[in-house]
Amino acid sequence: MKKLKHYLVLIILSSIISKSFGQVDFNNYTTLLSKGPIPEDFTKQTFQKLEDDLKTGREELSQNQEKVFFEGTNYAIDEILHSGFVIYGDDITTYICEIADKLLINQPTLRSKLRFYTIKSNSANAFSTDQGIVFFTTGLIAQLTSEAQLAYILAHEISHYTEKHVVETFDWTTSNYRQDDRIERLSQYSKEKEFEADKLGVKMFHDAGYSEDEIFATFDVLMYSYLPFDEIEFPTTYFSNENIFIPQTLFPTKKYEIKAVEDYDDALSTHPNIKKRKEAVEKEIGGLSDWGTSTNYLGAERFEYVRSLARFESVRSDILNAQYGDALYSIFILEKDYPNSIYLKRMKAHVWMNLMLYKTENKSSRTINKTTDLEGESATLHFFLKKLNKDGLTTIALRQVYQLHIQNPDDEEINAVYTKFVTDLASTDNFKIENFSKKKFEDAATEYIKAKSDTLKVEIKDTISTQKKSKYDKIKTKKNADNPANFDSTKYYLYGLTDILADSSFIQLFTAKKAIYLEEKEALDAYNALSRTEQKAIKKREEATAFNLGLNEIIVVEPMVFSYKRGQVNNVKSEKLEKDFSDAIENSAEQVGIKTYPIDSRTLETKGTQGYNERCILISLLNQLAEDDEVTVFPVDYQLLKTIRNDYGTSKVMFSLVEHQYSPNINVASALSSLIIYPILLIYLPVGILSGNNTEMNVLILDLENGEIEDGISYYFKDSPKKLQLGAHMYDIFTKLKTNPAN
Amino acid sequence: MKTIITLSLLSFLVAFTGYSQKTKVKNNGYYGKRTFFDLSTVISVPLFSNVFTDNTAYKKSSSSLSQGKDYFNYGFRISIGHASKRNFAVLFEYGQDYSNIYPDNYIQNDYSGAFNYVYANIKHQMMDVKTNIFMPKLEFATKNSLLPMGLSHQIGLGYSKSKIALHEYTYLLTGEDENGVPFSGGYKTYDAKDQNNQLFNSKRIQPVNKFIILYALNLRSPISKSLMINYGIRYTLQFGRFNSYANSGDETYLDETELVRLISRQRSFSFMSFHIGLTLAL
Repeated sequence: MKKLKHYLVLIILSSIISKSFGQVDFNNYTTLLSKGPIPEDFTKQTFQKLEDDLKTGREELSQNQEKVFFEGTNYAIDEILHSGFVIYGDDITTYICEIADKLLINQPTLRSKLRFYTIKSNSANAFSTDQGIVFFTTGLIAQLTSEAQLAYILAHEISHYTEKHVVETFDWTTSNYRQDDRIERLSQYSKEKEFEADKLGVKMFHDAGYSEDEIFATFDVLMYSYLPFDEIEFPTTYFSNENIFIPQTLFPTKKYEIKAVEDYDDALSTHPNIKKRKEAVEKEIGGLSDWGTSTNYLGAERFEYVRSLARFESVRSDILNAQYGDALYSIFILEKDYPNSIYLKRMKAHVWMNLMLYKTENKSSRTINKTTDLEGESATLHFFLKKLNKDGLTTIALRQVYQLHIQNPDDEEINAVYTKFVTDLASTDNFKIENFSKKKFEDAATEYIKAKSDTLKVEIKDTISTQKKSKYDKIKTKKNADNPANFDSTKYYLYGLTDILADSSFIQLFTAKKAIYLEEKEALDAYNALSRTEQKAIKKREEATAFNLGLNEIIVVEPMVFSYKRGQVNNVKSEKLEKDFSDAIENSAEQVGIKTYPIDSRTLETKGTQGYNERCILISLLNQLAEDDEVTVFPVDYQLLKTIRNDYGTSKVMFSLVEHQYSPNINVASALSSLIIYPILLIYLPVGILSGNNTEMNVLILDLENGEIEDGISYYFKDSPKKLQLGAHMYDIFTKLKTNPAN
Repeated sequence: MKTIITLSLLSFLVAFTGYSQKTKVKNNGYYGKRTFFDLSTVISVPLFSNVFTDNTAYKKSSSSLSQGKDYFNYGFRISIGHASKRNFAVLFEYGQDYSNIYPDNYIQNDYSGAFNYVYANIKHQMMDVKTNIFMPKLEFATKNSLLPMGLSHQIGLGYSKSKIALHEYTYLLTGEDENGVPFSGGYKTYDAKDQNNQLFNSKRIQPVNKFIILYALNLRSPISKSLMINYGIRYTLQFGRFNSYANSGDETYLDETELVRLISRQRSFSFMSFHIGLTLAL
């Protein structure tokens, strides 16, 4: 009976565990969002944190040092916390917390002081702060091969905290800022701290019962973490199918070796090289006995689940950062385990769409690894993408997006990408469907060979027909890809759209979009043909209705303010001004009669996690668009943006930024020289002082419908950025926004 | 991260400079208000008047006079303006300035009417001058401004009318009169309105009219949604011929022509002043 009871408990426990981590369906994945109650780290204002820290003080530091240290650390940490990339309460963070519980099972006081958060970033990193926050990146978790490796990194970071390395390093840097060999000595000092954290981490790791072998494996992970999260050969036939022929000449003929070595020069590094770290921990490991054997206390399945989450996130991060080569390679790896994932398909459509846009703007090299950075298996894909010319890439991109659209006809996101793709394609002069052959590559090649085999016949025929043809017919004949004589294997892409060009729905959509483009182009040409006076008159009419969107409601993302003092951001003042600006926006909107929905870090205490997640999604959108102002990419969080749009009932979002600096326009030399002519000084000084305020205000309106910029406005004024001043400018903006464009 | 976002936002806006140009077309004013009243106090330090004068200034001290200086002059301005564009407004200004002149410290008595003169000393209280100013002004600001708020440049071309204030003044004469009789009686007070007084004939002191060119740097800083503090600095250039008088009529101790010249000189030297006041936006 007792055994049965024990068995039942185990079943219940295992079901709870499996439920607790098996919540995400990778086939219908959406980016990780924070869950549960919002931690105080996110809701408390930075100046409050600073005040609290200053009250507590630090015995290691002088009063002046304390102020600099607490201000610097609190504002830096909050910048990360409010960056839009940090998540809490999600399955990855929960997993990290549980491992921390395991490591600190005998140190409950220390455990209660620590908080763990995950950063959605592909840079493999983990770091702890003096305030007791430990950050892990998804990029690091995606690279790991066991829970124990995560536990060792965690133990290392916790040791940095317990040994107060952050404050000690600050103290060292402020006390040694005048030495000539400061950088070398700082590097040495920092490396000593790393060795100490490694050493203490080994002890903590050992006490938790993990296997010693995983420590060395962790260092291997760190060494190769700059590579993709797996090394799988990329087949050169990946993009080929019965509809398109991809020449093998577009792929590298050699393998690109991995260059990382353990014993690199670390003279100026903050961390010792891997070889030295391995040697140092080996001694520590040797000094401890009774090593455990576990690599995954929480279960291998749970670890793989968490790692998959991190890997799915890495695709999103790559797309956000326009690293499309890396994103495609990650999708290629993940497709093997999740072939039916609609998320991966959507992301693939995003990548090809955006690649096409970057290529059109001749900027695709930014999105693919440099030739010098080609390493490992992913090099094949990067090499291929680099080798593709504009027409080749556009054709393959169209093929990929079209294929995804045909395979997933009911997926709204893929359809939206497809429609945007066709629209953008139709809006260029480069892509002409008439240039493409109606024959497939193989058929065209066969015809060409056949024609070549009877050269004489072809020549005679050509001579006769050439005599009859006009100059223009001859040119057309030369350009016609369907003419066997014009076959060119290097223009393989001309034979890659036969099925698409035969699809009436594609032709219909393309033709409709082309007609709109041509109409706009015609209007532009007509405008350019006008005289300057006429152009000015038209421009004036357009200017009169600028920013008139007829809005009655708008989502307002918290404004940002940077107040500079001697070229440095005055964080405390900036934070206070941000609050003022936020209030000013709300007041002005109310006065004009526009309903605002503020998404603001200052209101998170009341809005909670939902508000926090919305803020993260919108900031991510801004970051994605900001990658390049000439390329309007498709929003990576399309589904979530749609949710926000539906929840608030408006698709318009406002972002705003104010920068201010008081720098009186007074030059000492000019002031002294104007002393000679006394009245000039009387003019020079007051004018210089009065006009010393320089404020720039930028406001952007984004449309969540398509993730594009609806309108933007920039003000520069010589006034201080006080609440009423900013409010007056916002009143002006809201008045314009409320005005109906038809008026 | 914050910096990254900022830079990204800025880079966006570089592409949107076209939009920033649009803003100058329509002015929504200060919280929708484009008409405004300025009420300001004008303060100036008459440094040049004090430096470039041979006369000593005397202030009234109970029933006598004490040596002093004219440390600052003041006045007020009332303007009504309308900001037709974000960076352009038209104003009309009326104001009064209150300043002083130091009359000569000596008088010249006609002795026996035979081109022979006798000098005598006179200590005369500083005389108050009231100036009325009328001036249309134009106000300009940078293209993204939101007039009437903020920093602006004003230029104006106006007209001023200065007169000696006619009220009681105290003086002291020492030496002898035209009959060789020593002055006696100590400090005396007379009413300038009384045309029979011996000091001067107020009828012959005609107003000094001048044209004024103004440049002012003005800052209106909000204190509520309809009220602003305005302050700044103004530079004026005053020009115009001062009236001269035939030395006819009853003989008086002070030379009226000289008084007019002093007023004119004083106005010309008032080329810089500060102003501070309130702006009501309607």
